[in-house]
This record gives sequence, C-alpha cells and structure tokens, in this order.
Amino acid sequence: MVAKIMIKKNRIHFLFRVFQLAILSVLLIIAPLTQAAVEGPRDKAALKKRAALLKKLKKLNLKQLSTIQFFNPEATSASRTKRKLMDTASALFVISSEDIRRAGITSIPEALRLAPGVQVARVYSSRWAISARGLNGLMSSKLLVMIDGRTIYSGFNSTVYWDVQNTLIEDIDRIEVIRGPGASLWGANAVNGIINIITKKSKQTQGNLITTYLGTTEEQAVVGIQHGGKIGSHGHYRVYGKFSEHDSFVDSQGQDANDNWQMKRGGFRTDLDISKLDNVTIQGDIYDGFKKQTYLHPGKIPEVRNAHTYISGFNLLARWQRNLTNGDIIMQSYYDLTERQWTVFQNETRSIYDIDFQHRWQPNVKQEFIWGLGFRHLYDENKDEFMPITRTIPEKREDNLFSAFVQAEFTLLSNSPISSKKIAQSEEKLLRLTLGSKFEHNDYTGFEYQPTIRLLWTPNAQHSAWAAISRAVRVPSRMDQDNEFHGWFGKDLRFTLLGNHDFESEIMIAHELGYRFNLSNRFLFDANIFYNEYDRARTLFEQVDFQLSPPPPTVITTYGNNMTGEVYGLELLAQWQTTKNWRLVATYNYVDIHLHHLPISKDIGGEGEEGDTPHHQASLRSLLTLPNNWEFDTALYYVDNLPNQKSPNYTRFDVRLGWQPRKDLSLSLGARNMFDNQHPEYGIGASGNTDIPFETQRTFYLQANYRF
Amino acid sequence: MSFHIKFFRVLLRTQWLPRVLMLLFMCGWIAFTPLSHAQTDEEIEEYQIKAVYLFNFANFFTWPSTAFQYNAQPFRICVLGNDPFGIDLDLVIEDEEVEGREVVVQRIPTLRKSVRCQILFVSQSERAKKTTILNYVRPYPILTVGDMEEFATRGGMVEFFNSASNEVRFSIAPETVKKGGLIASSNLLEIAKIIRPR
Repeated sequence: MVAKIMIKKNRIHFLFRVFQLAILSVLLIIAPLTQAAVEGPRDKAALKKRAALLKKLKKLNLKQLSTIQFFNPEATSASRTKRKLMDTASALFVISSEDIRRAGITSIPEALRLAPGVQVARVYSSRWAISARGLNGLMSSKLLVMIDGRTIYSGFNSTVYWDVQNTLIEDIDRIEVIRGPGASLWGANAVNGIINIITKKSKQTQGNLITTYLGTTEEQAVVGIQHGGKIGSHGHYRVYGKFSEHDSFVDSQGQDANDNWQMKRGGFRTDLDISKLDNVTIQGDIYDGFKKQTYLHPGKIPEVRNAHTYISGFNLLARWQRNLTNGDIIMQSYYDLTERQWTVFQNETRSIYDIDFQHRWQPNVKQEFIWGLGFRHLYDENKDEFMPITRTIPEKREDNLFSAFVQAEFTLLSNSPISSKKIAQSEEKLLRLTLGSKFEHNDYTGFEYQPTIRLLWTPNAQHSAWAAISRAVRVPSRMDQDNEFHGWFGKDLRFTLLGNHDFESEIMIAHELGYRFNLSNRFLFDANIFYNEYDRARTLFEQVDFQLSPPPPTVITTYGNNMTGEVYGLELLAQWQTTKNWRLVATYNYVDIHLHHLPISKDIGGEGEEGDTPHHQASLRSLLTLPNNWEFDTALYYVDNLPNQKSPNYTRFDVRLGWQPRKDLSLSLGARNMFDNQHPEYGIGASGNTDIPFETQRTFYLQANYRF
Repeated sequence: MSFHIKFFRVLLRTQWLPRVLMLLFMCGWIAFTPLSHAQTDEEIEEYQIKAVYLFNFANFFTWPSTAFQYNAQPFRICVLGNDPFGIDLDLVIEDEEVEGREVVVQRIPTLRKSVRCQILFVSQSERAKKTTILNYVRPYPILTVGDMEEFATRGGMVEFFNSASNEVRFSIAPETVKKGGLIASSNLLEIAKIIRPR
C-alpha cells in the first residue's frame, strides 16, 4: 500500500521533472540563438588565427611535423561509442595508463583516487569502500563497474569485491570514470557512477614483459610476466601471469592487523580480424588466493583473528564487432564464476552468464541511434559452514534479467565555420539532444525503466556545456531480500537482520550540469554540479520485533525502503600542461548528503550514512619529465573527515622518481603517504561493525619493468 | 561553512525556479564569453596536422605527366566521404601552387569523380567501402591517403596513424605507390613506416 502511494508520487515527480526539463531545453536553445544573431557568420579574427597556425605548421619539415602533439582524450563508455571529451554530455574523466604509471599506482581501486568526484577509502588491507558522488560505505551499492564490458559488481549485495579485480596494471589502457547515472545505456546499478576499465588490445602488448614491485609495509611484492605474439597475419594474443603478496595493515597502536592477503592470477586476450569488417576478441582470467581478516565483535562472540577467506574464480568473454557502412554491430557474451570460502561468513559461489547485442546506426551526420538487447542469468549458492552469523534462504537462487535500451541523438542546431557551400558537409554540431531509456525486467522487482535526457551545447572548440536529467534505479540484490545476519549493538544487545522480500528498487533522479573549457591543448577545465534526489533509499535496520528471551535481548530488524535523500555537490578539474615537460592536474570536489527517514520508518541509524562520505576532497598532481629519461612526480591528496566513522581527515603525499636507462628497462623508486606514519581511511572500529578498520602506513617501493 | 556553500544549498533546497535561474545564469555566462578570448594559437587539432601533411605530400611525390590532361589543370586534392578537415584544408592550400599549378580542394560525393584527383583522401566514413574504392582508383595515377586501420596493407598508398603520445605519423606502401605510376621522394621514405600490402 505504502509502496503504491510512493510509486504514484514518484511518477508525478517524474512528470514534473520532464516538464522542468522542457523549460530548460527552451532556455538552452534560446541562448545560443542570441549569440548566433549577434555574431552572424563565424568570427573573421578566429579564422585568421586558424590560418596563422596552419601557416606555422606548414613551415615545419615532415620530421618536425611528426612530433607535433594534438590533444583530445577519447572515451567509449560515456555513450557506448567513441566520442571526444568535449563532446560528451556526462561527467566523464579518463584515467590514462600514463596517469596510473606516474602516480606509482599498482592496483585498480587505488587508481580511482586519480578521478575527481570519486570517494576511495581503504578500509583494511584487502578491502575498499568506493563510491562516486557520495553514499560511500562498506555497503555502497550504487556503482556499476566493468572490466572490458564485463560487469563485476557482486550480485550478493551490489558492492564490488575489489580484492579480485585486477590484471597487469601495465595492460590497462584507460579507466573511464563517469560520475552520475548512465543507466539508460548500461542498466541497473549505474546509479551514482560507472567505472569502465579498458585493457589494451593485444596488438599493443606484443613482446615479453617482466614486471616486479617490491615495497615496505602493506604491498610487499608484485611479480608479473607477459608474452604477446601474433596469430597468423590477422591476429594477436597475449598471456599473462601475476602474483601479489600483501602484508597487513596495523591498528592504531601499530600492532599487526592480521589482514594480509595473496593473489595469483593469469589470463589471456586474443584479438582477431576475421574479415575486413569483423573483429573478434576472446579473453579470460583465472585467479586464486586468500585473504585474512580480524573480526572483533562487541558482543559475546569471541573475536576471530587470522580468519582465512579463500577466493577463486574465472571468467571468459567473447566479443564480435562488425563494422557497417553507417554504424556497427557488437555482440558480446561472457561467463563469470567467483567463489568465496569464508571462515566466518557463509561460503558463496556465484556465476553470471550474460549476452548482449548492440547496434549503432548513423543514417546521417545529424542523427545517431543506438539500441540493444541483453539477457543475464545469475546463479548463486550460499552455504553456512560453522559460525551461525549469517545465512541466506533459499541457499540457491537463479535469476534472469532481460533488458533493452534505445538511445537517439539529434543535432538540433548546427553552424558552418564559414558560409561557403563547399564545406557544407563539415558543419559543426552546435546543439545536440540525446534521448534514451533502458527497460529491464528482473526477478526481484519486475519491470524497471531508466530514461535520460541530455543536452549538449558546443558553441566552439573551446567551450562545451551540457545538462542532463536522468532516472536510475538500484535493483535489490540477494542480501536485501534473502539474507539473515546476526550481530551485536554493543555488549548486551543482539540484533537479527532479516532480508525483506518486499524490498524494492532504490530510485534516483539526477540533475546534472557540466561545463568544459579547453583553452588549448595545454589547459582543460571541467566543472560539474549535480543534485541527486533519492527515493525509497535503503534503510538497514528497520525494527520489526524485540525479543527478551532467550537472553540476551534481541532486536529483530529488516531492510526497508524508508528513506529519501538529496545529495548535491560540485566537482572541479583542471589539467595544465605548463611546459612540454611539466603537467599539473588539480581536482576538488564537494558533496553534501541529506537523508531523511519517512515517518513510518523505525530505522536505527540510517541517516548516519550521511557522515560516511567526506565533504571535501582535493588533489594536486605534478608530473615532471626531466632530461635523460628521468621523471619526477608528486601527488597530494586531501580527504575530509568522516564523522560517522569517527575517522579524521588525512593528507597523503606521494613521490615517485622514474628512470628509463635503456629502451627496454624502466625503474621507479617511490614513497607513499610521506607526511605521516599511519592513518585510518575509514572508521576506527565503531561498535556494531564486525569488520574493524585498520590503518595504512608510510610506504617505500621499488619497481622495475623489463621488456624484451 | 563558507558563504558560497550556503548560497548553493539555499539555491538547491528551494523548488524549481531557482534551478532554472541557475541554469539561465550558466547559459548567459557561457553564451557571452567572447570567442576571441578563447581562441589561442596553441590549439592544434589532429586534422589540422593531417591537412598540412596532405598538402606536403604534393611536393614529396612525383606524378606522371599523364596525370594532367592540360597545362592549366589545377592540382586536385580530393576528400571522399565525410570531410574531417573542415575549413582547415582550404586554409592550408590557399594561394599555394604545386609545380606551377593552382591547388584546389574538392569534396567529391561519388567515387566516379575521383579519377581526376591527384591526391585522394578516403575518409573514415568510407571504411566499409575501402576495398571497392581502392580497386576503382588503382589504374589511375592517384595518391591514395587514408587514416583508417589497414588502409595501406589493403592497397592504399599512405596511411596516417597516431602515436601513443598523440602525434600523427604515417606509413607508406612503396610497392603500391610504384604500381600507381607515382614516385615517392627518398626523404619521405626515410621518415615513413614502410608497409607491404597483403
């Protein structure tokens, strides 16, 4: 009943938003028109400057010309097609392989610190809490993360097990980070953000590579080996193996936290050009390892130290792409199996089989259509072993997910650089409208729709501005509906947290505005503001019963959809290539979260999640290239305090010195967290947490890569 | 909490009118930012570099006399498919001459019109028709240039590719050039990556 009213209310809300957008669209159209009226044909002075620049280029000899750099990072995930950053109507940031290398970063979750608007907190040695645009936490569930198009968030609780998401860091081509919803294309869970990790094509990783990393404190050793070769004259492949050994974090007293871990993994990728128009990619990974944890329970359960969790899994993906005259077709399918044998929690096995079809059609310069169909089969098995802390009923479950999406992009206004017939073909797109929606049917909540409307305005090559309104949902996961968890609120009060079969999708309506300013290939400024409205947000502890006997007293709670919320914020990025050898990157973001219980809610503490995300985050990186193949890079990260986790703010300072003495050998020596001995990034062990967070320490490392 | 954050919060807390005003403000701000302010001579685009290359090729290749039917015939640089150059290619060839001939740029809608060109740039939009195009122009002394993958290995003469650090490089298939009746200068072959057609 309540749910029905809420749905109705939401629908009205949505219609209201559409109306609102209609007004905004009209305003956005009027603004450039006024400019066009004032200026008439394109500025003559601008044209003159263009001609002068070309004249300069013409004076160069061919050798010099081949060393001129042009500028424009490209991205695929923003609109599932390639598009230049300035032409992207979403809050996109691309972390390049160069960025990762020069930040001295060796794992995917740590690399996400480089993106603005992303909250990264390392809870203990093998666990991260990561979110975008707020609502971070151990249970942060609104991020869609993919590696080469394979979804990697867990079907159990919609979080990402970052400990198993890895590959040779040298093989990562780029990480595309989109803050804000992308659900219209990507579907459920693409609520707060999308992280698309894209590995290099096997053509780019030919030859052999040996990579080694040795460090003090947590990350002790990483050894990777890779071989790349050709298959006939039309294909390439690579195979890799990687071993990583991680030591424990420490507690606030400097004592070992017993959370060391170890991973072994291997994988391959082949790219075949089976015909002039068709490309096929087949890739897969297999991994195996263990991690340790310490559980300190506030209640009567004895603490567990050295609790081992064995993790293993594999995945296999095939993708076929056919280029058409006016577009392309992509067919992709994958299977992913992952297993976790916890000593404390239940053993879980889960698998995903997924098949996707996508067709992009561009009938003319002014229109583009993308549509697609998808099917996903999810299977999982949860068995509790000996500790009666948690169980999932039913133990096994199979779910099917059907999806379809359609997106259309129209050029509403375009202008020619000058009024001449002969270049009519090359007219610039001035104002573009993107309309799209994803439609899904899942076994938890049935039918879901996730539309978006985006408007991009590119008055010239230097400025672009965009606005978007989207609706996205986080569909329930297994935990929300079927899990049962026993824990303690303090020493004398037990709780039993039951899954809720009536748990519904969490809904977000996002309003975004973005502006990019590309002064030249040397300076890029990107600003975004957003206002996200959440409805039916998850409350973790809805009280349903209270039992005095048998002692100790136990509160029975369940998950609810009894919160609404607003999150708003600002994200700034500036990239400045001061000279050819010196690049500066600065980011700042502000997030403010307001959560409100509905009057019917009997939740304990849900609004406190507000305080799990830092208000302010900032970073400044300097990448300096020195003569004789030396590099000197520094990075400063500031993260505000987390009141709900009682963790103080911290400033992390990293230094790296790189040297490439020979073409086939590169070395780096670096230090992380130079400013302090140790600091926690998330929590100091607030009561009620079964996972006690620990602290990260100052680290020195040495890295060597040898290619042959 | 600082003033601007409070301001921002008030703006967002209230209903739709302030949001519209905010957007209006943004529009106004961007719409009236002077254009000239933003245009600097540091700006170099990928296709500006390619346009300069294309013109330079005119001087680094030699065409047989049969390429020209009459004395005053202009030197034609043609673009087949969606034009990625825009005004830049026209600016590059402005007032230029190649061996006493005026240089002109032509955007050709159909393949049939390509036979009178000296340089034919095949746009990425023609990717699917690559083989058809190259087969069609093979009997003529036309320098075929493209920037799609495998252009040179599939019968094209010059293929642009981008280096990892966003520089424009090119490869040449000398056998194809020779078959087309053209002569490439040795200077050019020195810098180019040499490719054998399959």
